[in-house]
Amino acid sequence: MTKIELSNVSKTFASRDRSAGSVHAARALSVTIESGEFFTFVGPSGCGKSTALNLIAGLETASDGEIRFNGSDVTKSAPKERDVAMVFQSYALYPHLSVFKNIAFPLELRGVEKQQREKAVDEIAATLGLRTLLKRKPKELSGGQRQRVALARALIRRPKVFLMDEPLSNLDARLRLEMRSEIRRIFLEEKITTIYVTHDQEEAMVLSDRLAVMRDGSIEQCGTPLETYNDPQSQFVAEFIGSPPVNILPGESAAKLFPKLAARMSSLSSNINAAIRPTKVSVIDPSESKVCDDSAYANLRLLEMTGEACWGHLEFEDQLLRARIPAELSIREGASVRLKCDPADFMFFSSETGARNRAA
Amino acid sequence: MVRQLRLYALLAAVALFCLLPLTWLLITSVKPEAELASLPPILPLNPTSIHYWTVIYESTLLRALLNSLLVAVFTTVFSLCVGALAAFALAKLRLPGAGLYLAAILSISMFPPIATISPLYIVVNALGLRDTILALVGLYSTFSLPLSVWILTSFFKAVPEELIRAARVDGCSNLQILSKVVLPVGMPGLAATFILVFIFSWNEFLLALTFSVTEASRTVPVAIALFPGLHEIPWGEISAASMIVSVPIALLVFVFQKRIVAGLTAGSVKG
Repeated sequence: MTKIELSNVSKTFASRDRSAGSVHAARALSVTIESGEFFTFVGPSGCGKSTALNLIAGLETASDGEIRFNGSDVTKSAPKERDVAMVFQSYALYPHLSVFKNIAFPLELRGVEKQQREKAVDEIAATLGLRTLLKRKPKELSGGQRQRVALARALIRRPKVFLMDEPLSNLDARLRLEMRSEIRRIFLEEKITTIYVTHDQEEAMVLSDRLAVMRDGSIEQCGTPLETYNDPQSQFVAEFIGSPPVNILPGESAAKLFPKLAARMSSLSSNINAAIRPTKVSVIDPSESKVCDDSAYANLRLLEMTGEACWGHLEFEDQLLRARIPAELSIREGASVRLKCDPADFMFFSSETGARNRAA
Repeated sequence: MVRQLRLYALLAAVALFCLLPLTWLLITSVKPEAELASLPPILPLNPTSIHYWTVIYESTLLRALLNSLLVAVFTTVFSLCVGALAAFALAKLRLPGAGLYLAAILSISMFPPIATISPLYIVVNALGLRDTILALVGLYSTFSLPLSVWILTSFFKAVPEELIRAARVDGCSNLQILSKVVLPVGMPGLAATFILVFIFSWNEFLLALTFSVTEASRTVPVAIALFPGLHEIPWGEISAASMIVSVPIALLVFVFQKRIVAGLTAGSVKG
């Protein structure tokens, strides 16, 4: 069980383009990952999440700050001394070794005896359903099987920390779901502190105990998946977490579309964006809309059926938003519809800084 | 169909062009003395193996073969060992100024050997290494190392970065990464370099001629060139000897051909 602390960890790379100076891949990251926790760094590409992981792994050395494992400083230690294991996006299996030798590789390096190695490989292969594949070479495996071998190789020596860098990105959609639950299952069984990196917010939400949303090398918000979804501290987090993505409307448009909102917004400054989750807005039955004074009319541009839900893309004064369309309604694209929502569900962000405005 | 025929015709023409000298060599080596200088016949009327036996039993060719083999093997092994270490560092260890090193190495290999031969002669003499195999191994290595480093660097660069990172996380030291991951994965590059360096040192003539005095260090190209001919050039023996020394190289290429075929990295990473 390992607790990991990052305090003010930064990483700068010298830029290829001299005039641009150095590139800040990670800026003053401070976060504590509790022992036995599944923690995820999530963010768009180039946000520094992989750098954060490599810093924890010891594959990159921090330019500044301190990294502690269970209180002891490992900032300058090599990966070997940190006793971490890692799964890579490309699986990174050794092409010249059989599956058995791939999995046994970390043990062999540590001088574990042959009999014990065989026993350990056998056990882990059984958990991951690899027993029949041990003699094959990586190139004879499917993507999902390679992923399992990579997991087995990382798990076999029961590392202090288990690191995963976008491990599911190369799999097709169905296999991704399957391996996602597999990863969660293994985590629950092994109880090893796990740090996961992904650009897929859904993966982060489903897998993690806690997650950190990253942007431009900094942690934008850190918390449980539900905290980041229900209580985003910035417009960036609100937009990044949640699918379909949150609706963002300029304050004036929002007040016109939802007159009831105006009262709530009166206390706010003018440069404000109003945000509401698509699940919290629904289209109402045109036959009822005459009696409804909740909203102005918006134009239904597009219908999106996903099977379990139906989403409408609506246009109001050049602003686009999504709303849930109840299954029993039959309306067509091009219709003028009114919407229903609870003004309390709105969140407000400064349109200049993107910071949350909680005044209302 | 016609397209394929045309392709094969073209291939046959190229093959003929490339193999003609070798074929002529073979024909000459089995022609009896009397037919050597006359044309026709193109093909020998009374083929004979006499030149081969003469070369094997009455010349210093066997000794020269042994010398050549020793020089080639030592040069190749040395070049590959040092070259692999250097190439690994240049390709994978984020050396500051790696590009500069590579440029410097390349510029060294631009020197024509003939320009360096007088200073080299002085150095070798001063070291008391004239007419030794060691001198040739040392000199050949200096000329083949830049080549080895360059080829190996480009092959090692192609080893996926994530594989190196995986090895590092799994607990490998730099040397273990080289021996357990980069070398096995870069085997085609190693095989290609092996063959090129081996052929270079097997064929090298200028340095060998300059630094070997007796049969103690005389290699095959020099030995053949110095075949004793009392009144005329012994074309039959020269051809037979040339055929004999071509065999090891041909065998080597056949053995390593399979290893050179790429695709060894298939399956390590997605792609």
